[in-house]
Amino acid sequence: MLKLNTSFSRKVQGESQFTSRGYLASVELELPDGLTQEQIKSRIRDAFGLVKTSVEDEISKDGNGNPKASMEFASSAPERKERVLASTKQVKYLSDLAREKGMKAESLAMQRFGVGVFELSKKECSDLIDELGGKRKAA
Amino acid sequence: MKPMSPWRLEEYGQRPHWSFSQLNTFISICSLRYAFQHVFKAEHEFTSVNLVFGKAFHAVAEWIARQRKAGIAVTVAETEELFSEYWKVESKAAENVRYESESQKDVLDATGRKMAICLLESWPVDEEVIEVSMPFCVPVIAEDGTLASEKPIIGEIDCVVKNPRDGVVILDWKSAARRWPADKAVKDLQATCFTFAYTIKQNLNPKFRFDVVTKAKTPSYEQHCTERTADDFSRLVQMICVMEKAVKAEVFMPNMTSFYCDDCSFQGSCREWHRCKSKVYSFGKAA
Repeated sequence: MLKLNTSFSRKVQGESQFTSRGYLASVELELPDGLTQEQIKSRIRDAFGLVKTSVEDEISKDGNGNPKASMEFASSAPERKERVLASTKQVKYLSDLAREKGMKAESLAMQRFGVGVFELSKKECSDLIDELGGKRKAA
Repeated sequence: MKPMSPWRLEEYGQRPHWSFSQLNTFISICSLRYAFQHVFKAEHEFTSVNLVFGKAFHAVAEWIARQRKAGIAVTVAETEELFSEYWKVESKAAENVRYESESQKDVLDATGRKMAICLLESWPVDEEVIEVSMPFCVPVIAEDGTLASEKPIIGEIDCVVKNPRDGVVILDWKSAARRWPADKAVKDLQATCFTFAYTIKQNLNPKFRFDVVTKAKTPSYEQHCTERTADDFSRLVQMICVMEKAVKAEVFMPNMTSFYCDDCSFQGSCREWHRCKSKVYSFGKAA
């Protein structure tokens, strides 16, 4: 049995300068035995056409190359709806508070949430500030 | 391996930050260019064709790595075709690209196709791809564990691989006009920044390798592997601290002998610089 793997990928400009979005579609098909070389080529052309069209359809959804729905592969990060990164001010407050108590904010963030201090969300940072006895003054 | 980042690079970029690109621009290219780009927020007068070409090459390299990670075999034909697609997309997306001649676009397309094939065929097959395009955002930590800067360092690692010779290796793909000097990787600040970030995140100091493909009629593939020590990291932190003070004090000077001048997108602003008072300029544009 023959296996056919075909994929197509394209990058378009992202929402801000110097960023891009990537699209990738990939299919794997099993081909029956006994196909001639021409028939195999034809199947490959069809499969490639399918993934190429799918990618281009997704890209052109809003008409100017800036995608609305995407099969984005730029990051393996999970979706984090409504999550916002902690502000620089918040992180500084947490770091100062931790230092006053003889601790390191980076280690605290890592122990508590498994991420670095600059990767905390607003809420996570506030929670740590609360735990250290600080006031939620930094936003 | 711990997940490298729960956020995207664009999200990190919305807060004040340092990056290798900023450090390199300020320290190695031209501090005035840094100011035009990051402090005065001057408009780019054109887009360098080398920048556009590098993006297209990088995109196809990333695609090759993703295919390898997924265990999908890649053909020469689809690789070169994909480069042409990326080249079209990137050159269309970039504003006011400055080409040397009308035929340069086609010449670069042909060159890029060969370079993509060169990378595909030359990349050692025994390397396992662990991650592709890993954003990071790490604190600038001094030796005593305190924050040396309120701003983190952000960036994106091209690829992380594992091979029997070196274990875990950070890869960075480069397209270069000519072969690299043997000691370039040893001195390169990007290797320091990226291994610093990886060490903080993963508690492992890996080797760093530049996979360089030359932009020639017959491209060549070279590996330039290097590594960094805790002392190199300490030096990096000190450089960031000094740069922070220089930026605050607006110590921005044109580097008249920079290799980058021909490609610099602020040539007009640079020519006018000494006729303007820098303070007035920064108040006007930085607000």
